[in-house]
Amino acid sequence: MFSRTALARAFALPIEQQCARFSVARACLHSTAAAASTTTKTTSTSPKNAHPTSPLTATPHVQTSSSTTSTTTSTSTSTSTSTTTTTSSSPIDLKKPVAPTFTSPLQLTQSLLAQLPQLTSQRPHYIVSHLHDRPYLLTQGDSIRLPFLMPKVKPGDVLRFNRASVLGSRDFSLKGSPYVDERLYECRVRVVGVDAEPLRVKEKTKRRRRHVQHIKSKHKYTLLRVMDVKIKTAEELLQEGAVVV
Amino acid sequence: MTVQGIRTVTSARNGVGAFILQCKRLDFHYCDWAGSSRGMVSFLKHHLPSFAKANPQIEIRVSPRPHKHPVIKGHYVNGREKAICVRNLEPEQIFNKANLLKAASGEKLKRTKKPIASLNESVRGIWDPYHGGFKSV
Amino acid sequence: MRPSVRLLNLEVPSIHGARSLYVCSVCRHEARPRPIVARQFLRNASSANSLTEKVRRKIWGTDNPPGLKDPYGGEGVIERKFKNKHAQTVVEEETPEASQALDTAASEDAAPAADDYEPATTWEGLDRVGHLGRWFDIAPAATEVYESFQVKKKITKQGLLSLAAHQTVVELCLMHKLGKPLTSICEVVEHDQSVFKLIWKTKIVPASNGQWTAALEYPDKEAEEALVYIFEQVGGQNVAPEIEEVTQDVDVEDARSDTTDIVDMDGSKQPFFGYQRTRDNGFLSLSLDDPATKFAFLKRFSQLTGHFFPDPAVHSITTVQQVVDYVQNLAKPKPKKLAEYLANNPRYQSMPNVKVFAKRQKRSDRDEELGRKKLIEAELRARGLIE
Repeated sequence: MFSRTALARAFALPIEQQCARFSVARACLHSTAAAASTTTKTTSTSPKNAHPTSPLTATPHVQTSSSTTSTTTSTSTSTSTSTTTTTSSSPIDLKKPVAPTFTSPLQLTQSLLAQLPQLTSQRPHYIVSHLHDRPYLLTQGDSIRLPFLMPKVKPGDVLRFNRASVLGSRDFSLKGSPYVDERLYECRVRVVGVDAEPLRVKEKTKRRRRHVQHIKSKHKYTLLRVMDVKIKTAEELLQEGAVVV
Repeated sequence: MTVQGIRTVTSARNGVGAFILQCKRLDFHYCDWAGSSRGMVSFLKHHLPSFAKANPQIEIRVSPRPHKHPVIKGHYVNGREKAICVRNLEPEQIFNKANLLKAASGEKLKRTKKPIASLNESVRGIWDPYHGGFKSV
Repeated sequence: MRPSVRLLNLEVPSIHGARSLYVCSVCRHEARPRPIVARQFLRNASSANSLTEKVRRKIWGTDNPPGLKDPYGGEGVIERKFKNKHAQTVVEEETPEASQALDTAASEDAAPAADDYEPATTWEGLDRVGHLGRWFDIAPAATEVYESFQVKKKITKQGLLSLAAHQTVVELCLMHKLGKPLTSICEVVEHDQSVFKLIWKTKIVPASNGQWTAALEYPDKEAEEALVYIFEQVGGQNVAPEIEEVTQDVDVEDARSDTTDIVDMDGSKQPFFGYQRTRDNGFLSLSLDDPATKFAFLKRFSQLTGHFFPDPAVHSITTVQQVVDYVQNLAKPKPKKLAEYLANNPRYQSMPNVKVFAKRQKRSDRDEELGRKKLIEAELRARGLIE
């Protein structure tokens, strides 16, 4: 599953920037009048008139405090990481994630700006985050047991996932093509520990040979916990310097 | 919005807000006489102070266990404990074992297929033929 | 036994009745012991009570039947020969003195016993041989007292060790100078106090060529003469009185000047008369390359300090400094237990999360820690299981 291209896409910076720019260009809300070539779309699963009960003008939610704490206390690492406000308090400089360098500000289309409040105001949210090209559908508080041992992390570290294909709530979803721009949301996970599977013993035999070989293996897995899944509101995006096209 | 039942009290989800390391105590047992404890004694003499300093949240107890092989025992928040026999191991190997116990979750080892375990109810709800934007019946 | 005879035994197994001694595997089953009756028929008809003799007597009807005594001709030729030879050698082996002594002893024992000998019925009144368990009541003879070569209590203090080394070096230098056998100094177990003071005052200046003879530097001419005079007596018969005579006058001179260095005046129990340290450390750099000197030094040093030097240590020692270091290392053994080491380690004492136990932690310790020990004990006491 982990093909070389996928890994390169996951780790290498230039490719990531390309992807980012690519998805930025495409990140706009789906509307009927929009160009048919845009693959990013917000599909409304509910009827158009069925508005969510929660108020549309939701205040920037409570996660701001937790997000600030996480950024100050943690060394956020992830595959193809990006942290905007990482402080340099990390003890090991080798582990400091590569800060994303965006060449152009986030561009928001009018339709996206119009429909984004519906998505942000309807809690809870889910995110389909991709790690090594595998999708993980996450909500806040989920525990993940990755199918591999993540290197160079230790319990207590906070990672920020920046590769998502879908952001969504009950009635709305924002799809990327293939990925949503990482400046639209924040998804942080905490490394909780390292788990192992029970020892597997594989019996290997050859023909006409009265000998059984026992192959033992015991893989280790990294345990994660989703700290928050936050989709930024339009006001926040404009405050951070998004440009309305 | 559908009808929702009464929400239960939130169960503990370590790491969502505060993070507590699951390993709360490490016991180091050694034997003064036996040769299988040589690496352990060396570890306790030279490497343990740095290990203890790096992990101030773990209580570390050192006690002899004569006429037995050296053992590291980890006690976890969930009440379980894990023991690793470190006979004839070098100090570096023992250090790795101690780190393993430190990072472990304390749960019994299980084989799982699904990567994600969630306590939340489904965000998009259960599919229902009478609601939603069905085009035809 | 000669091989031919052994073969004979094999082939004619019935000679001495030792039938199963040497049996080859082929005829083993044949050589199994036969019934006694059958064996009696075989041979040895010459003995008077044998079955054949009885039968002969019965046949003839008299106690002295006519004819050969042994109808089979008695023992064979080889057997007879062997018997004769064996008897000769046995006789030769018995020394005449031993046999005589035996005879005399037997006759002496027999002579008084012949007249009024009454066998004893109880052990009372009989002569005792040995101590019969009461040996520890008997005072030891003069020859049985053990005197240790080394001092009884080992010396461990650093100053005293260097004092002993210094004394040994001075003594050996003097012995070198006088051309006496080096180890004869060990006959003097302890010097008089004044002599020791002279030795203590003498300095060691190691020569460049490592010679021991020219290494001494005396405080004055008088002391040199006195020391030389004393050490000329070492090894002679009357050492002690001479030393006392000589030291009388020296004592008077030095008694006042050096009292400051003597910590404890009660020198009789103190080693080295209460002296605590040497005046100079020149002796430490003297080399022990000469094997004879090394041996003499170690012998005298171990006599003075009570430390034993094993062979590997002796082999590795080349200077006096090494000897002193070796003994000092022995004197202060490292903390063996890890718990003591950890408890003494300052790195651990500053750690709030590290706890070091010296004893094994048991289940009862866990109960005590969790606060349920009192409950358990109370319950056990209520049931009468513990006091």
